[in-house]
Amino acid sequence: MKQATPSRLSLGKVVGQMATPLSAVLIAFLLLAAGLAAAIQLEQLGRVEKLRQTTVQAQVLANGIAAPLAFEDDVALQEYLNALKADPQIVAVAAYDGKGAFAAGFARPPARLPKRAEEASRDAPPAALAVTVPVKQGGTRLGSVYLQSTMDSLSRRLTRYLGIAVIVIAAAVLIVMLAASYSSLRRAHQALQAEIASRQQAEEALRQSQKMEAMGQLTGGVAHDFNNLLMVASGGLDLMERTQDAARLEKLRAGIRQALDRGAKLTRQLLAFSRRTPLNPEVVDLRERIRGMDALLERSLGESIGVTMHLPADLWPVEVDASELEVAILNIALNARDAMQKGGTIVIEGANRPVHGDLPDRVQIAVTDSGAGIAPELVNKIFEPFYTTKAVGQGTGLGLSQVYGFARASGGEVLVDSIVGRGTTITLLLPRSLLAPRESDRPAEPVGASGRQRILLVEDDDTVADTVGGMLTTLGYEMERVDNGDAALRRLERADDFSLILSDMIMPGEVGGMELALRIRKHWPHLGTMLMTGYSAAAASAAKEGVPLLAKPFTIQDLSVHLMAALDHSKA
Amino acid sequence: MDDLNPSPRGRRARRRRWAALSCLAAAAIVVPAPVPANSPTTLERAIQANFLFKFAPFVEWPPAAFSGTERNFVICVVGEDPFGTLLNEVVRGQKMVGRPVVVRRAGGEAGPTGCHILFAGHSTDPGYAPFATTEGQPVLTVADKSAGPSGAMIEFVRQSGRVRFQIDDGAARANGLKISSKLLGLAIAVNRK
Repeated sequence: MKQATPSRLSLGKVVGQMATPLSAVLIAFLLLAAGLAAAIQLEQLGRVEKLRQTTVQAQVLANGIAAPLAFEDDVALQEYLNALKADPQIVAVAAYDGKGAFAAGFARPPARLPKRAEEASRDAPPAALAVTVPVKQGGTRLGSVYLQSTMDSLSRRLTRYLGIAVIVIAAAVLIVMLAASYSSLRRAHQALQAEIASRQQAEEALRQSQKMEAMGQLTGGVAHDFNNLLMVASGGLDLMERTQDAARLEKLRAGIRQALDRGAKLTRQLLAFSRRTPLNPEVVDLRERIRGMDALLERSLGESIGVTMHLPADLWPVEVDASELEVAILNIALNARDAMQKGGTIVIEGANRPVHGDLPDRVQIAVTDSGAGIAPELVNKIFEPFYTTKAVGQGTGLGLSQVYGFARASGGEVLVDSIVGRGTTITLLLPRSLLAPRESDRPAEPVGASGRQRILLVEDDDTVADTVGGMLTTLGYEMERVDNGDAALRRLERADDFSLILSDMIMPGEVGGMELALRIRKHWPHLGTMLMTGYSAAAASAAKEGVPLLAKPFTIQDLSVHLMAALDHSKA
Repeated sequence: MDDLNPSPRGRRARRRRWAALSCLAAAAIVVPAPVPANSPTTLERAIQANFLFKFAPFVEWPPAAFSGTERNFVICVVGEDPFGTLLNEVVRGQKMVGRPVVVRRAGGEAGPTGCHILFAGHSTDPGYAPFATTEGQPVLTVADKSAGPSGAMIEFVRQSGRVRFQIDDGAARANGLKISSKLLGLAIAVNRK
């Protein structure tokens, strides 16, 4: 079935492409047929009309020759008949007396005269326009008149129809030509569409690789930072084992907590940053977004670089792709860092730029460094893709081209202001959006443990299961753990005595977390489910299905708040 | 339509015909036909018999002519009968205004009654006046000009060896008969008074 689909599709495509030319040819043929039918109809009407005319002529003649025929005045009779010679279409005329004998007449070859009146009505060829009418006077039949006339010659009739034929044929040819040009245009259009689609794909791939380029830059700093955090945590634990001083223990615990919080925040930003998302403009509060990048910037720029932000609270919102914005800011910052080999400070300033001339309201984000600066002849080149001044392996030259692409795609622009030896300011100008930015998720207020409810924990990793299980017990929930989705389903079939199922998303076995949640929703609709994951792509699919989600890593407060919400939801 | 508005061709033909006929008539007047001494030939008699019958369709009788008990259309022959059986041959099986055509011969003084057409032949009788009895009656009288009494409405004449006729339309009208213009047009001479 799957194999048949493409061939059927291509067949449909072929039929679709051929439909227009075919119907055009059909219409052209119909037009020709209609023209022919009209000509034939006209021809037949003409024939009927001609026959009627001939009959009337014969009757007039019969009326006139009554006396000459009756009294054998051949001179007068011939006079009458000869008068009809003036009409070239009359090919034969004859008068017969009361006994049917030939009296007078003439014929143009090849037409010939019937010898007797009976032959006239009998021998007339079916196609000929021949009529025989009686000659009557006072109710007495005195004889008959035979009159044979002909249609216009074929060439004359053809000449008459030539005009119509030319118009009809020209119209038919025009239709076919239009259809042909339409179908070639259509093919060109399809080729163009395919080209556009492939270009869009390529652009998408370029965006992702630009992002990954920035990621690569980040990784070194992040690894370093994580080592530091791990150092704080493990060293802190060592020290805690060696001391009983309550105040010192408290201080160490706080240090470890702080280090872990920073680590969690960093990985969350990294995951959000690297997520492969389609270009999706949203209304963004620049101040909040750029401030939210602090940890990311700090880690990726290294210790010798300081970051100062001047972002006023009344900065106008803009409508851009948030993740592209972050990549752009990071790329500019990384470029600034590389310009300041000896270290220094990067200043990020935001300002509103009201209408000026024909320029609309715009928001300006300027990133200034005190580095080497860019030579004037190179200023135009820095936004070209793959242009780099860095050594092989240190940069791809995609960073600032991403900035340029982002600014253009968002309806804005990038300005570069640089003095060699003094520093560079790269300014993003983005159009103001009149919409209000979406409320970002505020960190939940810690909520104390509550409830006496049973929770089924589905988690394959023993360490995580122990930690989360411990948290649940601490919060006062009764907890039971299974290893995977299949085991969870078996357990529920035995007895569904739980208030909520808390499941990991990625697990071995046939039933993953998402599948489990959907099955529970179907078979045990009164049971609540909540999924947890550290994997951002999986998170998106959970959000699509409307299943509550808890992003790893999470604190016990996060857990308690989310549990409360999920339980409330399932009760409702 | 065509009858009301004859085509130019038809009109032209008619004009031409009239021209030809008036020429003939003029010739007849300018050169009077010589009166032949000998009696008509057999062929001429046959043609006359034929014509005698064929005059009927071109003549219109008043309704009174058919009001009597007579159910036939009667052609009477008085005097010497030049036709013999020829006339009977011609009218055999023929009908006129819906009536069978019959021939009556009567040599009597009173003459035949109920005639529609009366042909008067030659007679040696000095008191022979065949048309006196039909005076004022709707009877078409016919005679051979060269071999019969004078005073008939239609008289056969010989012209260029052909049988033609001349018509006294005035007499016909006086007796209530209407002779078709077609027939008048064919006559070599017409007395319209």
